[in-house]
Formats: sequence, structure tokens, C-alpha cells
Amino acid sequence: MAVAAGCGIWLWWGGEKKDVISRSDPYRIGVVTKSRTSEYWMMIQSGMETAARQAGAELILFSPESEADQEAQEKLAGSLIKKNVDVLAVAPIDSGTYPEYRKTAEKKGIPIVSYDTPFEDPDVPYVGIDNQKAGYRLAEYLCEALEHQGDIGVIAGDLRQLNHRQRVEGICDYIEKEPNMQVVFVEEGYGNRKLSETEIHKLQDQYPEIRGIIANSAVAALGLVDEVKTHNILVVSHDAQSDSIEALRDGSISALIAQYGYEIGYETISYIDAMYKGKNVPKKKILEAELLTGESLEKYDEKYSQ
Amino acid sequence: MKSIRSKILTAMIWITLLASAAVTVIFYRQSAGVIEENYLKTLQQRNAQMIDVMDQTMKNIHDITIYASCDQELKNGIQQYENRQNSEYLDLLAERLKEFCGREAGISSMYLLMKNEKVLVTSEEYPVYKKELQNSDIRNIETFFEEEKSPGILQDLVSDKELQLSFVEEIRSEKEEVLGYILSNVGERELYYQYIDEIYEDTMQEVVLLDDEGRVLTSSEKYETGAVYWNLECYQKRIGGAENFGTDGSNLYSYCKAPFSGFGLFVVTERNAVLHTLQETGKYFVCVLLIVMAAAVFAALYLSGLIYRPLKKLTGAMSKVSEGNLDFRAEVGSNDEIGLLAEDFNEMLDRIEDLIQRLIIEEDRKKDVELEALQYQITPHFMYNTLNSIKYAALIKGETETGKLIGDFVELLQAAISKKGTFITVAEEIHILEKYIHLQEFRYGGQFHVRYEISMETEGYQVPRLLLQPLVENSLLHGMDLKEKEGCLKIKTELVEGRLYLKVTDNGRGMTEEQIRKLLSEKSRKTTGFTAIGIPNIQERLHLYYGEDAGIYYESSEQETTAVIFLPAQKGDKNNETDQNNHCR
Repeated sequence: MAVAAGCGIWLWWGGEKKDVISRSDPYRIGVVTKSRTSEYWMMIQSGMETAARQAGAELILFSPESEADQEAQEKLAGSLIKKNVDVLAVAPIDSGTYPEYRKTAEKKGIPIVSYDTPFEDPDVPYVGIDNQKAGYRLAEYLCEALEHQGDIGVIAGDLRQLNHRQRVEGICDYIEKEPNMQVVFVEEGYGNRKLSETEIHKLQDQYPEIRGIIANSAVAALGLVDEVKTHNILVVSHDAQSDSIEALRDGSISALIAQYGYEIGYETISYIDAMYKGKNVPKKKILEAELLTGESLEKYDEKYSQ
Repeated sequence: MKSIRSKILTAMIWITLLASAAVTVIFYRQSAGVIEENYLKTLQQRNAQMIDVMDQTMKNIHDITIYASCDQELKNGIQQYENRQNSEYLDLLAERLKEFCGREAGISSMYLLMKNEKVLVTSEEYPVYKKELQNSDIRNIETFFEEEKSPGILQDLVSDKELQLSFVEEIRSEKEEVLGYILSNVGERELYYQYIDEIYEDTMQEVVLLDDEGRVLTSSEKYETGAVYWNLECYQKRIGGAENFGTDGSNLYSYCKAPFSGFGLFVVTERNAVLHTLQETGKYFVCVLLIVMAAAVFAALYLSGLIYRPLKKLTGAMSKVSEGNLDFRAEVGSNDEIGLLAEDFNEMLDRIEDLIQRLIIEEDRKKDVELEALQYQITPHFMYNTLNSIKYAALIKGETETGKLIGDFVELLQAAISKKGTFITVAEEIHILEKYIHLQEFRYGGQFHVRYEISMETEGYQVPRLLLQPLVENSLLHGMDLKEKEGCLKIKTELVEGRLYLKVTDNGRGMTEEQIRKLLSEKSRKTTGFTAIGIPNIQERLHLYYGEDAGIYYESSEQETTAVIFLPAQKGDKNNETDQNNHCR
């Protein structure tokens, strides 16, 4: 009887659940991009979110409305510093400045990591491709394709950004080796922007002998392929994203530097995670960027499907 | 004393009660656990989703506030108004604010505070702008921004009374001078209908949206916006971390915190409200339990009755028998163990009755035998003395023969009526027989002669007294035809395989099988004297003393007839043994 009563009491009270599941705050990574509109930046965001999930970190991601909006980017970064994120990742619109948020971050001891675009300050870690090398290789390919003859033009991004500047430097470095070739124009400010029809026609009128164009962003490249197609001008570009790959497939773009947005995003967060957890990380994490042509597309497809 | 029936009944009821109660309690607890767990998980998921949606909106509002603070049009508008003091610029600024405000449905209103001009431009239809702002209001906004409280709770600059959630960002000119502030406001009601009302259910006690310092932004209860949540201390263990949910026994809690804004949604639900349906089911279970119990009691009554009825009959029969009614028999109503018990009991009674009957008969017979023996003792001393006097008188007168005869007779008489005991040795029996035969020889005048073949080894064995005399008497009276030929009598004793054989053989007329059977089956009669002791008497005595181990039979031919008595060869004082046996009986 006593046993039965004991069982009863145990069943009624003893088994009472008092479980509380509590998950403490994960560490927070603040990210500021340069833009949110192009596929490249969406891929970066996707890669970052995947890596943050795996690392158990919380991602707070802000984007200015356009790549030109430096003030907004700095304010967004500033607000993340105010929010006391644990690490801040920035793709600076202006690599050369030393904005307010960096000062505050230094004061608060919040580390900053640059990705996609490095700061000129070599103390800020960088995750991304070697832009100078990329420019060099694109120029090399284009010159070969043009049989080392003729004029070429460059549609560059915002040259305040070190990545775009390095790409142009890379191109010039190579062209110097080609006695029969020269860069006849470098149009700046098309990092994530297309040239207007008028701008293209103006360039065509100005440089009728042009045989090849190196675009430093996929958006700029795709904006001019239709216009230059009839003039037998070869276009090579940066950034591997679905529309630029399609353009490569149909021949309107001859070669691409395959800078994978997803990979950059993923690697950036992995780098930050390792750094945050006290592992030894190099100052720069340079990602491989292969040159994609119509022939090597198969390889790309394989990697992309993976 | 409790009967077996009540014990069985109690046991069955207890077993049923315990089993049903255990099943009910376990089932209830399991179900309650599962329901609680599922409710908590679902609640937590909804809470987390709601927090995600809210945080995304807050991020959007934050972005828009920053975009607006960097907007060149706004900057130009402010500078132009500052330069020209034309209200048209304020209308243009209001239009631009409306555009920003329209980008996110979560924004209730946007204000542009021009610090130098003390003018507030709004995205509202009315007032479009408000001039001559209080210095204190402007200072408030400045402090709010500088102290990095954005997003936080601010007093509405237009209505003055209402508190609302505001995002504040300063606007700087290209010369880095502060032109003013952009405020993106979210009203308490907007927050309530967007987030609290969406998640609130009748079962919930309260749903509160708290800022990162534990102040109420909005709630399902009438809590004051901006006041520190009154239950913060009470729930301090439950409000914290990124996620926190569970139960303390009486309430279920769920807390989710937004990573960007730091706002947390806290839900308290009464456990009983969640388990309401289960409790209803619980009542139903209790009813079922009671019905099952009642059924179990009836079943127990019926079953225990089935088991108990034959047992009751058997115990009844036993008590009647124990009262002395040996004729009563238990009723055998089933084939089970109890039926078998009743059968065995009846059988046992039969055997007892049979034994008692036999005991009574044996006792009767023994009594008869004893009476007979007593009859032999009628005035023995008087007779002995008289006969002894006659014997000595005859001897004195020289009648030696007569004296000897009388002496034999006295000895015979003494042997017949002796009190010494029932058993004597074979030698003594032969000695008495010789006396008897001597008297008979005198009577028949020597018409027969006797031959004794007494085995020496038999002489010491014990036999019942006067066993052979009736056989000799039978031979003399009925066996031998003394008129036709000389009679010849043979007395023989022998020991064969532990058995004593006493034989009397005559050369008389012989007996047919029919005669032998009749003689042996004859019932014993009461005897009045010596000669009347017949064969049946011997048979009865042998049977009485030895049972089936002793008996008498006849072997007869034309030449001779032999009566044979066989009995177990036993030495020692049989009289004492017999007496003891009799005592035992």
C-alpha cells in the first residue's frame, strides 16, 4: 500500500518537469556591404549567412543603397559599432579614408576585417581575391585574343576603392609589356552601374579603333555587350554570376575572372570566426580567382553545381 | 475474521484500482508533458519568427533613417530653408520625408528636426511642420542621439504626450556641421497590432515587447509605455539570453530577443489554460475509471461468488460432520480442485463409517467370546473341590481307575475354564487333549486308538486354548464309525515355513465337499458346554486373533479325513500381547 502511495506521489509530483531551455546570446558579426542590388552582393550575403549559421554566430548585415553612398555606409558601420557587435566586416566604398567608425571601433576594441575590397591601411585584415593579379590576367588574355595588336579601354569601378584601383594597375602592368597595344581610356565609377547608351556612343565616337574592353564589374560589362557586339569588340570582365556566365556561354563576353561572391562571403565569416576564437590567422586571406573562358566553362559548371 | 471471499474481493478491487489509477496517471502525465512540450516549441517558434520579422523591420527602419540622413535633397532643402526662410521648402522637405516614410510600412511617421531653425517637418498630413520648438525638446533629441539610445523610447515632438519608439540619426552638411536630426517613429499601437496582436491568444496571460533595458514598448496588458516592466525581477531568470523558454509548474514562458534591435518578446501562458482540453479529458478518464471500478466490483463479486460457493458448501458439510452427522455428504458441483476436495472428503467419510461399522462388529464378537468364556467359569471352585473329593474318595476305596478318570476330568475342566489366559503352548494344548482323549477312551471302551505325531520344534509355540478339542470331538462323534471298525485317530503338529500346522486325522466315513463347505460356513452358536464348541467357533477365534493369516480347512478321502488348522508360528507370552491389543482397541 505504501509502495503504491509512493508511486502515486512520485508520478504526481516527482516527475514534474521544470525544464528551462535557455540559449545565451551568440557573438555578433556586423557586416556592411557596398550595395544590395546586384547578384554578386546577394551571393556574398548568402555565403556569409551559411558560414555564420555553421559558426553559431549572429549576422547583422547592412547595405547602403548604392556603391556611391559612402556616408550611408559609414553611418551604417557606425551604428553597428554603437550596437557593440563583436567583429565588424566592411567592404569599404572608400579604401583610403579613416572614418569615424574605425576610430570608435579601435576605442571599443572591436576588430574590423575588410572583404572584397581592402583598406589601404595594411593593418586591416583582408579576405578576397588578388585584384591586381586578376587585372593582369584579364589583360593578358585579351591581348592574346587580339593577337597583341590594337587599342583597349577599361571601364573601371570607383577608383576610391582599392580593389578597382588594383585591377586597373594590374591591367596597366601587363599592357606595358605589349609594345603594339595601349590603354586608350579608363572610365571610372561603374562598379555596380551600367554605362548609359549616350556614354557608350560617346566612347565609340571618341575611340573608333578600340578592339577590346576590360570591364571591372559584371554589371558594367553586361551593360555594354549588346552595344559593342556589332563592332567586333571583345569584352572581358570580372565577377562570376549567373548573367555574366550566360554572357560568357553565348560569347558576348570572352573571359571572366571568376570571383565567387558566395565563396568570398563564406570565407570572410570563416576567417572572422577563426580570428574571434583566437586561432592564428594571416593578415590577408587571398582566394583563388580563375580565369573562365568559353572552353573552361564546364569546369565552372561542375564547381557551381557542387 | 475475514472470509476468503472478502479477501479475494478486496484484492481484486485493489489491483483494479491501482492498475487503473497508474494507467490514468501515467497517461495524463505523458500527455500533459507532450502537450506542454509541443505548445512550448510552437510558441517559441512563433515567437522567434515574430522577432525575426520585427527585427527585419527595425533594420529596415534603421537603414531608411540613415539613408534619409545622408539624402542630398534633404540636406539641400534644409540649407535652402535656412538661407531663405521660405515655408515652401518645408513642404518640399515634408514630401521627401513622405517618400522615405513610404518605403517601410512599419514606420508610423518621420520627422526632420532642423536644429538651427527650431523647426520640425513631419511626414504627416497634419501638422506638416511645427515651428518654434522648445530648446529642451531639441536638447532631448541631441542627448538621445549622443547617448546612443536609438532606437529607443522618445516623447512625441508633435503630440507631446505620447511616447513612441524612435530611430534618430543626425544630418551633417558637407562641412560636417550638424544640420538637424531625422526621426523615424513607430507608435505603440502600431507595435501592438504588428507584433503583440499577431501572437496573442486567449490562453496567454501576457505578451510584452521589451526594449534591451527591460522597458515596455507595448504589451497585451495596459502597461505604461517606457516604464520598466513591473515583473522584470520576478521573471529575471526567464528574461535573458537569445532564447529562453520553459515552465515553472504553473506557467509556461517564452522569451526571444532580437539580435539587432535587442528587443525581446516575452510571453507568459498559464499552464492550466494550455492543459484545459487535457483536464477535460482527465475528467472523462476519471468517469471511465469509476465505471471500470464499479464493473470490477461487480465482476469481483460474481467471480468470488463462483469460487466461494462450492467452498462454502464444503465447509458447511465439514462443520456438520464435525458435529457428529457422519451420514452427511458434501455436494460435488465442479470438476476443479474444490470438487476434488469434496469428493475426497466424501470418500474419507465413507471409509470412516466402514471402519466404525467393522469396529462395532468386532467389539460385539469379542464381547460374545468373553461372555462365553465367563460362562465356563460357573462355580468352578465348587465343582473342582467336589470332584477332587470324589476322586480322593475313589482312590481311598481302591477305585484307582475311577479316581484317575475324575482327576483327568478335573484337569480338563480347569483347562477349559482357566483364567490364566487365552493362549497356551502347543505342548500344553496336547496335554489337555490327552486328558480329553483319555476320558473319551473310557467312554468308548477302547474302540479307538490315538497316535501322536508331535514335532518337538512346535511345542513352544503359542496357540489359542482348546483349539484341537472340538476337532477330536467331531471325529469321535461324527467321523469314525466305531461299530464297523476300530477307530484310529492321529494328532499331528508341524512347522512349515514359519507357519504352524495342527492336524487331526480320523479313518472315518469321510466327508463330501458339500459337507465340508456347510461345516465351514456354519454360523457359530452360543455354547452351553464343552461339546457344543464347534468348527465355526474355531474359525471365528482364528479370524479374531490372526485375521486372514490363520484358518481351517478339511482334506477328506474314503480312507481318512483330516482337519487342518494353520496359524502364524509365534512364541512368547501371547496373552499379554492380546491384552495390550485389546486395550489399544
